[in-house]
Amino acid sequence: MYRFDYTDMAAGALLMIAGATVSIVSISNYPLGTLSRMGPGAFPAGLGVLLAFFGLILVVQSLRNEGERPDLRFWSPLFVLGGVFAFAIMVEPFGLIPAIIGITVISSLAELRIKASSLGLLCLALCFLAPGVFKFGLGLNIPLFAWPF
Amino acid sequence: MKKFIAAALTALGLAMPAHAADFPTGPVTIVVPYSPSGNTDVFTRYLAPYLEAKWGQPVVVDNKPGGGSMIGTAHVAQAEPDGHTLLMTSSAFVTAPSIQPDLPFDSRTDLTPIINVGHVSFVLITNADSPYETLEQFIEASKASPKFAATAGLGTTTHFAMEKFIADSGANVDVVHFKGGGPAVVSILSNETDIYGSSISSAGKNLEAGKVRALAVLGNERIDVLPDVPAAAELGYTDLEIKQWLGVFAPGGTDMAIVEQVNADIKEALENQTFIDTVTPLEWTLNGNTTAEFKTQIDTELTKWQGIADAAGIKK
Amino acid sequence: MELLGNLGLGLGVALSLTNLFYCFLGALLGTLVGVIPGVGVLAAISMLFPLTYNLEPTTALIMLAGIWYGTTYGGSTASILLNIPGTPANAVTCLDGYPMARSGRGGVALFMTTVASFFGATFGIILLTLFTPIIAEYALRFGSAEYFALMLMGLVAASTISEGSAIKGLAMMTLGVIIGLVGLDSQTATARFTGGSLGLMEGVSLIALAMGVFGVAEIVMSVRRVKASDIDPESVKLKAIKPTSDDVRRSWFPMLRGSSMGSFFGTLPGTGPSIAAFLSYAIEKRLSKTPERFGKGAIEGIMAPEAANNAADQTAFIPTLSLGVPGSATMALMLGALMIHGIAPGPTLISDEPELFWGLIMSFWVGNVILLVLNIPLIGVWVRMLTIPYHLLYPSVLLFICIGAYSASFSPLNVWMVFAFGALGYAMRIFKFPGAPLLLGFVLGPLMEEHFRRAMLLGRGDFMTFFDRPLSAAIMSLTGMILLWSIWSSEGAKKRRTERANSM
Repeated sequence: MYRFDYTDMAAGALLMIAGATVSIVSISNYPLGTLSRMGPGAFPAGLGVLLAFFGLILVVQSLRNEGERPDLRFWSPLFVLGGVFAFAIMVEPFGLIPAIIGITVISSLAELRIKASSLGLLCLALCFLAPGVFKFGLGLNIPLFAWPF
Repeated sequence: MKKFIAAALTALGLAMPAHAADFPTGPVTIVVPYSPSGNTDVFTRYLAPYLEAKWGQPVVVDNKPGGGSMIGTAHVAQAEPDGHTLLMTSSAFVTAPSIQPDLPFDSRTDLTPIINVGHVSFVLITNADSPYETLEQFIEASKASPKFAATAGLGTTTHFAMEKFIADSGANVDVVHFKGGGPAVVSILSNETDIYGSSISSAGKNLEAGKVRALAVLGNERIDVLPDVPAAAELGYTDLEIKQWLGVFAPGGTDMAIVEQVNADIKEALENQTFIDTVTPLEWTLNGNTTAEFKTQIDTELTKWQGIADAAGIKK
Repeated sequence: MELLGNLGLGLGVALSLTNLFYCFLGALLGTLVGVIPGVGVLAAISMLFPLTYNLEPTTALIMLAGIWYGTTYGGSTASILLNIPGTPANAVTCLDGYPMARSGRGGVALFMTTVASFFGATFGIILLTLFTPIIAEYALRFGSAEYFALMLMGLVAASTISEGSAIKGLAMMTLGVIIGLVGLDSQTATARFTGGSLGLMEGVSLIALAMGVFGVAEIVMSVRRVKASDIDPESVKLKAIKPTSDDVRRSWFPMLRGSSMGSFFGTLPGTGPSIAAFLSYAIEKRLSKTPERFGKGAIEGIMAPEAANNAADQTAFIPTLSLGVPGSATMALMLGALMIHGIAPGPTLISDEPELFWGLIMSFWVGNVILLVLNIPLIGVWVRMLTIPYHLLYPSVLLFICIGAYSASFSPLNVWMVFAFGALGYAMRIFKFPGAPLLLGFVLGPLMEEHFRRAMLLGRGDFMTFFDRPLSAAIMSLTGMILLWSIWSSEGAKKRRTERANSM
């Protein structure tokens, strides 16, 4: 337990920064227009202010509440997002099968203790299943292998 | 991979240099820069089997939608100029560049026009309960109290049509953008807006049902499906010709022999009676001009729409 | 008696062997696509669209429609079992469906949502049958001012959906609206917040957002925590799908209210199933005597939205067929299927093509019966998914999400967006922000802006346009009432809590 709700305080501060950024970017880059013919900047500029306002309320509220330690994790987001990252960079130059193996191996590491045999089987199964569903079932036009050079 | 194999085959001397007589040497992809089921896609999918039969090679229709057709167009502009990647696009090709400044290609040089395959005509419509029986009455009424004109979206052919109409007629009208032709027609039905330059295909059923009234055809001649509606030229607007067309392009720098062959092969399909019968209900008027004519048309229209966009202050 | 004749004609068309087969095929494919996270109905229909070129128009439409309402049936399965909405319209079903599955009532939840879906769809079909021409005329009275007012009402009502702070809900909604504005501004063609990317001109992908914020974030939070052994093996047996009499008693009114909401929103072009589902959840929570049960596995919280989104799926055909105005990209594809065969939808469709219209409507009903029959035995199969060890399940789900996102536009950009929204979703979990309002804000944002700016233009710059038009004024005052009510009831709840604390 903390004296203030630091999690909400940080969240509120982030919202204020995000809101201010949106408003500033909108006002400086996009015309605001007139009331009857609003420009592309008017709506987002207003929304940015609104977002920052909600952030402010959150900060004020956090001072009146006690808080708990947030549920922070390190390895899970790293490996799960890393898997998505691997898929995104591999699918176009190398094709579907290498991308499947990439995402499966990397995201499985999030489990921290993995058996090579079950991972191998999973990769194999997915290499048959995923193209089966998407390429042959739904008729998607993705090359299974590609050669970038 | 495909390129790699092709390169390897060429290196081994198995493939001849691209001679018109040898075209096509492999599957031909026609890129459609719109989602499946749109007008352009439907037309292309009708055409593909005819070319497949003619060429003896698979003809694949590949949808690359997005960016108001510019994503698919950019894709073809950057493709190998060997005739195996073609583009079937609409008149957005000439209108979009005037409102999208940062296109990654040059509309005049990075694509070679092959053939204009057909077009749809546009009519000015109002609600059937409105007091305007003629275009003249509408223009007069707008001078007394300003009116609203619907468009199917910024930078669409209908938008340019309305801007051109306003510029030529001096009517006191503000344009309001809707998302697509459907909602624009509905805004006429619900009296939210007063006039809309609609393609025949999106106005069709409502005209038939007597819910909207056609005031003029945006062109120099009357059209067969609406024989009683005057053409804009008859009413004194000789430069108010607006059509949405479809055309085929190849990447810039494609061998002119291949371009001419594709032009001739498509023209043959357009003259096929079975093909004509399938597309007629879609309100298409088939064209089929020469490569040179199409090139001139593209150049003229690019200049014309840019001029309208600048004059009307449409944002760049 | 003309109606009976028409229904007979329709049933005859719908029950022909070919149509029955394609209806079954569509419903089956739809269910599968709905269950697989990451593949949206739009992607599925556009992929399967070329199959329909060679079919009769009625048959083609029957199959496409089967996919469309089938996904909504299937979509609730992933929501309930994995806490990942199969389609955006199923996002609220997660709120109570997932807690039910975690407490061993997954079978009941799946069974009851199937019933709710069938109920909602039937309700929608009856309206479609009786009132299509009338409703189409009615929808014409909604101009831009009314649409804006409706969407504002939807957002205000939905901000009270989630557990915890209403401010957090409102903040996420605002953020969702902002994310929705990324891309080419439809009124001026200005590219906003795209950073020069041509792919972002089309805006942020809905699938990438939903799958990142819900799917990837859920996986990050569940890895090494969820164990298959947590699930009682008894709870996945087929007989465990039987609801208690309490469940049944609590379900009637939410289903009825949900169906009415869904039918109403389905008919308005552009709004559709997602808003209907969110709003009906908000209403159930407001009406409930025990709102604290919501978010912890309240059966009302899955019945109302599932009835609503399925009813909306059906009534969405009203403007599409009778006005020729598709309410969504999916409906635009349906229109396309008709146009290919030279049929232009519009006011004369029903009289020109009675076989098509009535055949289609009756096929909806046949399709829903098929879905009911298909889904109940499948529940046993789906629930078994919970017994798959999580370390095998999550990489597979993640993979399907990525392929689904990739295939939505064949570009890795969507996968990068999944990555970015996965990170955002994880941050939101840390800070305890709800995901559902973000999704609703995202869906409604661009529409709201468009209608707001258009209404202001048509009203020549006067804000009073929203209050001068009677229909819009009525909706606006209703919105004000909801806002006041939610402030009043949250104050009341706070007071009750302090009183209870004092008396202890």
